[in-house]
Amino acid sequence: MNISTKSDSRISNEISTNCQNDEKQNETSKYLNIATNMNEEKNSSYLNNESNDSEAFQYNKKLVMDSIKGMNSIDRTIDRIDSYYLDFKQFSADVVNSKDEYDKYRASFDFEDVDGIRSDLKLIRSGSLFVWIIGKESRDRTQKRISYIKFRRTPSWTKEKIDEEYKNAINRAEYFRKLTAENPSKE
Amino acid sequence: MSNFKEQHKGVSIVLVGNFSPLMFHPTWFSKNEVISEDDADAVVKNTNSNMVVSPGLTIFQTSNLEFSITPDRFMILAKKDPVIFAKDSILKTFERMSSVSIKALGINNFTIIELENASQFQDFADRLAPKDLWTNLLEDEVTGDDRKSGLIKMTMMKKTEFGAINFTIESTNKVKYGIHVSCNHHFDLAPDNGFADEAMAIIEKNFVNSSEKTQAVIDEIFKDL
Amino acid sequence: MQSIEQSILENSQLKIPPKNDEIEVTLFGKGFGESCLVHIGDKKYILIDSFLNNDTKRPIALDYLDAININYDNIVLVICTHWHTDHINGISKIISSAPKAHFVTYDILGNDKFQKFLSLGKSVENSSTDEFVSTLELIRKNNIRLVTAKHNQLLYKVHENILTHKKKVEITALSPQHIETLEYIIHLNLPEPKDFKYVYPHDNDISIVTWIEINNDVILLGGDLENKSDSRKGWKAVVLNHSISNNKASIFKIPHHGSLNGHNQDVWKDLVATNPISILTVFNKCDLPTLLDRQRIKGLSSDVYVSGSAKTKDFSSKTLSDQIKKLGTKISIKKTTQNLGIIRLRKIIGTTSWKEELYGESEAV
Repeated sequence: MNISTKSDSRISNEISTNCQNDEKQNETSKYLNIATNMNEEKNSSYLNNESNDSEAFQYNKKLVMDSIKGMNSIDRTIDRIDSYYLDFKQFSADVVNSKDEYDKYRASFDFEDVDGIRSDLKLIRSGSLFVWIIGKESRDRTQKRISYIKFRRTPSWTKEKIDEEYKNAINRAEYFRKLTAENPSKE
Repeated sequence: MSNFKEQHKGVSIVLVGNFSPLMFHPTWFSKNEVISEDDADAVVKNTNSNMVVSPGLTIFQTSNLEFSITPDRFMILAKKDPVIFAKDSILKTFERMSSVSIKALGINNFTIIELENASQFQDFADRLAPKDLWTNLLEDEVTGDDRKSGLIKMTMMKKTEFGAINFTIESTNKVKYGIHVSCNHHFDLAPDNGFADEAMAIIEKNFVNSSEKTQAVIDEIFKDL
Repeated sequence: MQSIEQSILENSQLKIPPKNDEIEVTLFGKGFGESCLVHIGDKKYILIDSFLNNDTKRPIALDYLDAININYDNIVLVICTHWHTDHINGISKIISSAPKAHFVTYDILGNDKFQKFLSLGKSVENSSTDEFVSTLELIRKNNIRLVTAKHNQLLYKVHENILTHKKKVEITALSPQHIETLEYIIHLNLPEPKDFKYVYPHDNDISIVTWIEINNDVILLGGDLENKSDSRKGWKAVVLNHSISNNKASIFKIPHHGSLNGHNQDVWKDLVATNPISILTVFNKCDLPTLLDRQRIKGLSSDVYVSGSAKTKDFSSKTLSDQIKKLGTKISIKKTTQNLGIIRLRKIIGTTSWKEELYGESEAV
């Protein structure tokens, strides 16, 4: 059986050929709702307890669901933090325009600029990669200006990977030890 | 100077292999740091989120990613920027599951091109598919800027060492005079190397290259408009 | 349309190669990036550090040698002062283009922990550790002659009567000190399994300072070495332990982009001649050199030249600032430009006057 590695053609076809209006959300939910109804019982077993911070949760839920609907046109994105200040709730980084590699800036941000700061706080440290989205987002036929930061959750080192890299490192170190022993630099 | 606008870019990564959809609950993804706790909570606790988690199918969407898992197919779709999260998420998902069986993978870049007017739209379609052979069948239906019949979709395939690149162009109503362009970079994994760690290495190596190739082809086929 | 870099490199004056008995010091800067070529005679060059030409994506030093029609085989020594991104981009390309050149770097390549750090320091997307590891792998693969630098280590020597000008050439490292490399290794943090891949080390401490002596002319290239309170480290140690020559530098490549951290008064007294020509590159990220830095250096030098200065107005920066303002966020941005500047100094050996040439974004202070 040949399974396609393309994006789910059913969903993408619905988006590309059946969209008579701008609400992408409606088109995808048509497919999803059918499946949801069939599996309601199973779903309920996964429901967690309500968050204690219900007001913040409700607000955050709204933000997340709102932003699912919007398509954005991005002007600038990315880079990595090199300094951060927990006391002042600020961090700095070099950022570069994803559309123009020579359009570079030094930027300082408040923690508040981070989308989902509650769960991303632990990601704010030197070396972290993030994407700064700034531009316009289209929702329901209107365009809205947006600016937010999302931290990247990049693969971390596993013990197996570290062991493999250590093997390469030790081989290299041994080579250079031998090299400098055979050709010692003299003063 | 280009006479077209690129809108709504997105990327998806699809793996073909053996998976257990029931395992891939949003909470699993947040516990494994693939998505944030906030994103997972928003999906799980919102009754309108259209989440499905079952042995045969798992689908849900966060603020910019869509997840779709069946027993033989795993897909993450970044439907808007930052599209790199599609790569990050899939690498993060499988970083501790290196021995999962994967037979093939696809990196799919898509974008919607918005042309300026009907004339340009039809000129482009005629360039891709000249209508001389079709006039007997379709007659005047395939002429003029407001034609009712004509090209809907075409795919060009380029064979590669590891699989193929499939370039698909089709009309879309998402924007006026819109053309949906998608590029599927397909990789077949060798049977003796058909595991997640090999798939992740291919994705890591080809993700950026794949989008650059897509962009280069778009620039080329739309350049003379 | 020609790029700025292309127009600089096609300047007819720039394209004139040096004479065989002419010393040349050429400093390239672009706001983020530093590279220096020194001509020691007979078209032979020493290369110190590298960055990429924005236009060609090749090391700027190689593009310059193309412009003056000099074969890459004439690069006899490549010094990588330290492996920060702004000093190392393109070094592996240079090594592969000039395989006969000796390569100079730290004395810690044989240390397991340092090699482990390099292996683990690779980030998700481009990184200077990748470039450095690629360079080391090339050295291994192509049997490139390696010279390790430490205080008072002779890196390269040409005896009298070998070159057309018949003068002796000696290139010596004045740093790092042994204790600095030791402490660098001790303080190196290897990431834990849950950490991110990229880790920022502080390796200005082991930056290589180069002393180039051609006849009685001395060129002192300060790398990014900074001052330390401990007299066994930094510039204090360099001055205290200086014993290789009684001559003093008439050309001084100012360390660490002119920062106060890199300034040591005793260096100016003991290692540098009175009123030398000072040259340095801009480092936009930290706004270096500041106005005060420029004034300080000017007060100690006959002439000061800076390459990579950002003078052009930028439309995209204003656009982004306006966007941020309209959004009402408190995000602050500062444009970091990357405009190429070249400072070239030439002098016939045995004469006293240097000919000073400025190209692109370079200026006299």
